[in-house]
Amino acid sequence: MLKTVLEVMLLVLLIYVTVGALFAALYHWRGMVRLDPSAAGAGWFFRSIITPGIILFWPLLARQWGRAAVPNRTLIDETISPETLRRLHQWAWYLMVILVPLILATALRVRPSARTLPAFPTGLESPSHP
Amino acid sequence: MSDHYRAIDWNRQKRRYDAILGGGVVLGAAAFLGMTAWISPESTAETLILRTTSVLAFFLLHILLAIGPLARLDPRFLPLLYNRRHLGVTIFLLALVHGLLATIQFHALGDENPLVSLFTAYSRDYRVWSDGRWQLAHFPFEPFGVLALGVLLILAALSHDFWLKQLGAGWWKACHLLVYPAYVLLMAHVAFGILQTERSPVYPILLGIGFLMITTLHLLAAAREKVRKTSAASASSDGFVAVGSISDLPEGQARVLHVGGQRVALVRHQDRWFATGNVCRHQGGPLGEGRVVNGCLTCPWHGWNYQPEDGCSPPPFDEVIPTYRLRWVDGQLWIHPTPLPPRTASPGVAIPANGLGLRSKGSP
Repeated sequence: MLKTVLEVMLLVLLIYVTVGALFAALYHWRGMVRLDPSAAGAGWFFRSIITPGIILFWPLLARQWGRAAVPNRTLIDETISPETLRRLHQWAWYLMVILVPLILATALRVRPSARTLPAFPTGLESPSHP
Repeated sequence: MSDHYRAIDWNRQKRRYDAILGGGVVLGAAAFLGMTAWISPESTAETLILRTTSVLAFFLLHILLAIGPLARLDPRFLPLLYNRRHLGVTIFLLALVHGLLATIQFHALGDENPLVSLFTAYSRDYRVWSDGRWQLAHFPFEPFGVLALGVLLILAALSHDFWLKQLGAGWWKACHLLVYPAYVLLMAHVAFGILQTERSPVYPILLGIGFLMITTLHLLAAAREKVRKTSAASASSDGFVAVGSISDLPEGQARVLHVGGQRVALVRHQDRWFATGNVCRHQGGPLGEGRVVNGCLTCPWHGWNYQPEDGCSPPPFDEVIPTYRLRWVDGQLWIHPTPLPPRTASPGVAIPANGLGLRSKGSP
């Protein structure tokens, strides 16, 4: 069951990345300079650096491209205020401060002694292992 | 600052930063490889590379998380912040080498799709409760690593100024807060992985020290960041808010003030006070912690410039931050929390001589 779910998810990811790669080629060819005039004359190294981001976020860029060419428009209309950002930072920090000690404590609590360390799971033994 | 994109906006400081970073990575890798090969001579080359890349990436992630609060606590650490994104990309590249090699080494030689095997190999025979006790040795720890690598990929992919402009500073910074979940995921990857099989107490001790260092630095920085908060009682009937005498602010310096629920940068320039927004348009740096360079308020993070009089960046740049009205009355400085229309030139307010209140011609 898990294997099937994972295989479907991988297929969806593969389709997403393939469409993203095709979109990236189109975006570099026609879209980028039109939507962001600062990109005019940009070299291949710059274009290659931003390409992984284009493949990851191609739906946002496609939406921006499709909403009529308004140069220098940001991908997301709503802005985040500095206060909201500060609160988000706090919450991210709280998440880290709560979860990391919990993870470390659990891992150390159940850490097996050398005597009770179980054998490697089936399927990961070396071929010579009986 | 640049008005068009380059792959990397090189300057002397960035070259120096990257040289130190690259040299540090090479030296660190050599030292760790040598030490591991000496302690465990039976280790294979694959194991040595796997361990070296993971230890370096995790160590650098600790440094990356410490740089922000360190720069807040002591301005001498600001150069570390200047090119932090190159440090982040280096972490991703090290983690990528680790992830690819681990996938090839442990998952690519069987019949199953290696990417599926990453999620299923350890869980196939795994039971959380076994023989009357919790059992986390051989817990499927690899999915934590895969997810962390995915987050690091997003952070590295969005690191260029192109994405900063596309997303806007707020969303760009919000995306980069994902570095905290990445740290948590990597901690789970390490704690449920190598920590379960390595017997040395050195590993948990180092992990604990790293975590305590990061949390302590953040707490100290939060305590330091206390700003002057003004109460509603100190507001005048026309909306101006008193912020005190500010007599100790040196020429050319700035300070963060809390006015009407927002942060304002107060700047002393040519014996006048000016008030501007505190948030840099580049990456949201605290302008009130910057200083005046060549007549411009300069962000302490990456050196973006704004004229204190009108909040505009000098030509050819077109970034603008808000400016605020000021006045000096009864030995106190007053700021109106409503920003002036963008690009409005404000004469500021003259600093009173010998403690006597002198009102500027432009103040209300």
